[in-house]
Amino acid sequence: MQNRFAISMLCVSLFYASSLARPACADPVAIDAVHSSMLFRIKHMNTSYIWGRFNDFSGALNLDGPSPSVNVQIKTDSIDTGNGKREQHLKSPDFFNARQFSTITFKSTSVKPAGDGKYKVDGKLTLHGVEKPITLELVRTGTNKGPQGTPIVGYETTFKIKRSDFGMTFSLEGASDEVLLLANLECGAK
Amino acid sequence: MLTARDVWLGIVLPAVLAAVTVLAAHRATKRRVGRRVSRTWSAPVAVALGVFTGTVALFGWPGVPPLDATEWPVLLILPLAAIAVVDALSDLVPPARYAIALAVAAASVWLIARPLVEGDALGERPLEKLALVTVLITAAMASLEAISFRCTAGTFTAILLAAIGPAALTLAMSGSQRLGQMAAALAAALGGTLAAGLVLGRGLAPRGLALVVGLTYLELLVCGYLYAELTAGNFVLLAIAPQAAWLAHPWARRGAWVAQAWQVACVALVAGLAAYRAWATFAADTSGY
Repeated sequence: MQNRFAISMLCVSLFYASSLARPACADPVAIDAVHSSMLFRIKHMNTSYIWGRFNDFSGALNLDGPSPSVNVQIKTDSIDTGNGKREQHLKSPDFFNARQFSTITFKSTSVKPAGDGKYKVDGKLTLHGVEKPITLELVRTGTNKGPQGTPIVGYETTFKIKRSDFGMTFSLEGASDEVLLLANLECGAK
Repeated sequence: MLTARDVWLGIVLPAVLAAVTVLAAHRATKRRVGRRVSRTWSAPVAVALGVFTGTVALFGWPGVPPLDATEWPVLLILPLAAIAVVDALSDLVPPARYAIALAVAAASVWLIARPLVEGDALGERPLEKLALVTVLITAAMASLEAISFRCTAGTFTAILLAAIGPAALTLAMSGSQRLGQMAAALAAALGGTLAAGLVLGRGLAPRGLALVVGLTYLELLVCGYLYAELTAGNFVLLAIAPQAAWLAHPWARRGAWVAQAWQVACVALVAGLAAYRAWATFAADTSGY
């Protein structure tokens, strides 16, 4: 009887320890948008950098399961640069055409561990109605337990795109073709 | 921000190309088919070539079908010009012409608004709304054509310019500089045909302009309303502005330049009101952008 109890306790402990070591479980874990951010940086008239962000996004990550995946959706209408008139212009057909192309999406096609908490993620980015393959390096920035005691994990990726590749060619002399994107994602049950 | 490149490619190029096209068409065809015919079809073709070339030079090839629904007016202007030529050379009866106008208006509205219909962004009963817009556009084009038959070619071109010029400014101040530049290219090309008409000594017969210029103008307004921030009030003002020429019609007589100037002024007043309203909103924003 005592042996059976000890074995049961050992199993429970092992399961608990494994869940702590691998916070991203086999099922996709939703992005906690409150503690995540989607930033972009673009150069104004080849002079200085302007930062902006998207405030409305969602998605789910599953990095350690048998079929790992990364899926992110961003609402273009939620663009925020700290200037209302500029945001109105960015949402217009000159740039994002937010009424026609209301969502930016990223869907992974392959996720491979690259060691040291890093993952090589190949996927398709759809922006302004154009789908292009891109490769990201997703870096785990930390793991912990959330307020509810459930595991949470953070990731970060930085990558560059050319907006002209996605058909956004208006005023390339005013706002650079190259755009830096920075995504900080916290995942885990709230 | 308007650059020198924008002015050269978006205004000077369409104007010069349209003027050259009219002059070349006149020179090439006057011996074979007579002056009247070349004058009839050359203006809409010249405007279409000017707008298409200027816009492609500015913004690049739009693709077929275009990625962005607001690029349809630039693509559609070429088949519209072809229809105008067929119309001019075959001398269609009015019912056939109205049927063609209805068909091209329906196709244009559907192509421009389709992404919003598919995205459920037009609210309830989207097809009924688009059908209503199509009928109103067709009526506006029929009315424009009726105006064109009642005034000189130069006056009709000036009436269109009096509406499109302020519309270009309004669109540019309503969130989309690109739509404003497309309208500016349309105005510039139309101005080029007007200048060529002056060089030829007599105005160009305006047949076909109501279809090509009138529909492209209304398409740009629909794009501004659906995809940019053109307000409903300014959309209506600009859409009805060319119809304001009817207000002065009882006094308008061929050759009576004061009466014709009054006709143009009525149009400019209505379109100018929209531009003023857009400017007032634009200037009220002090964010510095």
